[in-house]
Amino acid sequence: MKTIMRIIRPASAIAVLVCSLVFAILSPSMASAAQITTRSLTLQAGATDGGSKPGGVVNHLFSFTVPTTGNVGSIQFLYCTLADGGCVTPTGLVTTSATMGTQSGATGFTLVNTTNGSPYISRTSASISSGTALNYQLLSVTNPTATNETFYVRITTFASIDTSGASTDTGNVAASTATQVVLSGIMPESLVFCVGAQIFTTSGVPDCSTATSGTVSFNQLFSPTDTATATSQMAASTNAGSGYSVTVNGPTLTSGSNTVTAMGSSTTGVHGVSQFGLNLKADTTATSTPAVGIEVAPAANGTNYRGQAVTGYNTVDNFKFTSGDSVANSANGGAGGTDAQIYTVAYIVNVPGSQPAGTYTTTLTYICTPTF
Amino acid sequence: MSSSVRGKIWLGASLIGLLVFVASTFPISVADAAQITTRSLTLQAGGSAGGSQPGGVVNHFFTFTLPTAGNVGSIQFLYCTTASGTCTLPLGLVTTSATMGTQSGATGFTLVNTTNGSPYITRTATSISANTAVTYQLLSITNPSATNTTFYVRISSFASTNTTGGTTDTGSVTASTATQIVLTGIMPESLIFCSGATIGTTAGIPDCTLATAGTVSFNQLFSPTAAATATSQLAASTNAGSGYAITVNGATLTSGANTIPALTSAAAAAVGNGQFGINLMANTTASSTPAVGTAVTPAANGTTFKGQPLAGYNTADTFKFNDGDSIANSADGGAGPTNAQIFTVSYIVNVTGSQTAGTYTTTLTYICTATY
Repeated sequence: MKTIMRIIRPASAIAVLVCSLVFAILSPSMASAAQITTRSLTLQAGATDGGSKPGGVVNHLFSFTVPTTGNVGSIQFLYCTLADGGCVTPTGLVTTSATMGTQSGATGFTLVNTTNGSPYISRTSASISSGTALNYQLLSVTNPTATNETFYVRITTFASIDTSGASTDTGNVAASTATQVVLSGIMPESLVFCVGAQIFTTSGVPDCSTATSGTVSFNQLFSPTDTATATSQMAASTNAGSGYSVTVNGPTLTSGSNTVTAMGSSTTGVHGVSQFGLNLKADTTATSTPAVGIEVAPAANGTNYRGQAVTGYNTVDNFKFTSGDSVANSANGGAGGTDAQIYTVAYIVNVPGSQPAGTYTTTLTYICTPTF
Repeated sequence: MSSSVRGKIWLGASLIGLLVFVASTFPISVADAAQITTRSLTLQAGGSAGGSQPGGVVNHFFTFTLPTAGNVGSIQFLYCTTASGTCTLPLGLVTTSATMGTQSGATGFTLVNTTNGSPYITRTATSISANTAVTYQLLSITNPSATNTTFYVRISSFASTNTTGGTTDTGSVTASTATQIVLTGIMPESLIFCSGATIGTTAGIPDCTLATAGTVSFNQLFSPTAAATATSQLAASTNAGSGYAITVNGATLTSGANTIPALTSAAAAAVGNGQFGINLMANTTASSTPAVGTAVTPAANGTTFKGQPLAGYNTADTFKFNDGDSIANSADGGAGPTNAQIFTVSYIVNVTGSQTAGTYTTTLTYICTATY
C-alpha cells in the first residue's frame, strides 16, 4: 500500500500541475476578456410608458466603449437579476418583441431577439479600433415588472456573428424600474372677482389682493362747459364652462333730491346736458380732456382671454348707465372660462347750467355671476 | 401566543376584511351622486344693499339643472370657504334670517334656516324628471364680510325631506363679494356767461368757446332816411338759486364831441330822429330793413330755461338804452337756475339830417350777476 501511495502522490502532484498549466493556457475567454468602459443603460420612454415604468414597454439605450481592437460580429445583452454568477431573467422582462433602434460607433447591426432575456445584435464581422464609443438602442423592451428593482445587463462582444466562441470585451450595466408617481390635484369651480378704484398686476397677472378701496372722485368739478371723468377697475377670471357675466347696479349720481340724468341709451357725451354714463373702453379727447379709460387688459383673444365689454358699453366715446345692465362677459370667441383680465370702467358727467350745486354721489355694485 | 389572543386577531382581521368588502361593494352615496349642471349663483340686491356687497343683506338666486330622475324632498345649500373638503363657514355669512323667495322647476319648497351656513329647502318628496332646470331664491342672506372674496355653495339634492340619507345630485357654485364703488363728484356754484358778436352751439347747447370777438359794425352807414342795425350775442346759465341778472353798461355812440342820443325810455324806432337803443327781441321790418334780432333761444319755459329779456328791452320794435339797466334775468317761472340760452342784442341807430359826420363808437360792458 505504501508503495502504491508513493507512486500515486507524485503522479497526483504532476496531474494537478499539468491541469493548472492547461487551465492557465486554455482558460475560458471570459477570464481574459477586457473590461468595457464608459458604459450605461438609459431607460427611455416608449410610446406610452415612462422609461423606468415597471412592466412598461420602453426603449433601452446602451452606451459603452470597447477597449479592444479587432473584429466584432455580435454583441450580446444578457438581462439578469444579478451582475454576475448564474443569470436569472428578471420577472416580466420581455425582449422577444424588441426591434433595433439607433446605432452608432460600429454600425450595420441587426437585432436577434429569439431568446428572451439575451438579445444580441449581429453583423458581418468587421474590425473596430480600440476605444470606440458605441450606442445601440433596443426598442420595445418590456421592463421587469417588479417596482423599484435593479436589473443588470451583461454586455459581451464577440468576433463571431452569433455570440459563439470566445468573447472579446465584457461589461455590466445596471438599471432600475421605479414606481411611477401619480400626482393628483383638484381644481374646484373657480371665480376670482374684485372691484376697486385700482387693481394692479403681479408678474403681469391681475392681482385682486392689490385692489384699492372703492372710493372714487371725479377729476374735476362738474361744469356745463366741460366733462368730468373718473375710473374704477375690476378684475375677473373663472373656469365656468359658460363663462361669467358682470352687471352694474345702483342709482345715478344724486345730491339730496337732485340727480344727474343717467344715459338710458348709448350715446356720446355732450357739454351742457345732464349726463351720467359709463363704458369699458379707451375713450378719446372727443369725450374729455384728458381722455379717459383703458381697454380691457389683456385684450380678449377668443381663447384664454374671453372677457369683453358688451353692447351699450363697448363703443369708444359712447356711454350708458342703466342699473342691472350687463356690462361685460367672457364670451369673446364663445362663452367660456377665461384668465384674469382687468376692466377699466370710465365714468363721465356732463351737467346743464342749472345743475344745482352740491356733492353728488352714487354707490355702484358690480356683480359677477359665473355659470358652471 | 394564547389561543384567545390569536382568536381576537383573527376576529379583527375578519372585521377589517368585511369592512373592505362592504365599502367596495356598497360605496357611500356621495361617490355615486351625479353632477348638477348649468349651475350658477347670482347675487341680487337686497333692500338697500348691492348684491355683492360685503356683509350686505341680499338675495341669493340659484339656478341649476338636476340630472337624476327621482324623488326630491330637500335641497341643501352648504356655504363654505372652499369648493371641497372640510367646510368652513365664510366669515360673516348669515343664513338664519333667510326666507324663501321665488322657486321654479320643482316647486312647493319651504326654507329651513335653522343652521347657519347650511339652509335647505324641503317639501314632500316628489319625483322630478331627469335634467329638470330649477331656480330657487333665498332672500335676506347676509353676505360674507370679507371684500373681494370668493365663497362656495355646495348644492346637494336628497330624496329625504331633511337632507338625511344619501345625496342624489351634487354640484358647487361660486360667487364673490366685491368692493362697492362709491363714486363722488362735486357740482360747484356755477355761472357760465359770455358775450361776443356771435356765439355758436355744440349739439344744440350754447357753447361759449365759440364766442367770436366783440367788434361789431352797423350794417350800413348812418342815414336820416333808414335805420342802421347791428347785433351781438350773450349766453348765460347758472345754478344759482335766485338766478342771474344781466346789465348793460356804457355810453351812447360817440364821435369826438358828437353823440347819438340814447333812447332813455322804450320807444319805437323813428327814421330822421337821433336814436340809439337796444332790445333782445326779434324785431320786424317796422324797425328796419332787413329786420333785426332774434328771440332768446331756447325760449324760456319756466323750468329748465328761465332766461328772459326785461321790461324796456322785451318788446319787439321797441328799443331803449340806459347805462346800468338790467336787460335780462332768469326769472321766467320764478327766479332760479337756468340752462344756457343765447340772447341776441339788437342795436338800432337813427340820425337826424344834421348828425355830424364821423365814426361813432361805444364800448358796452354786459355784466351777469348770479345770486346763490
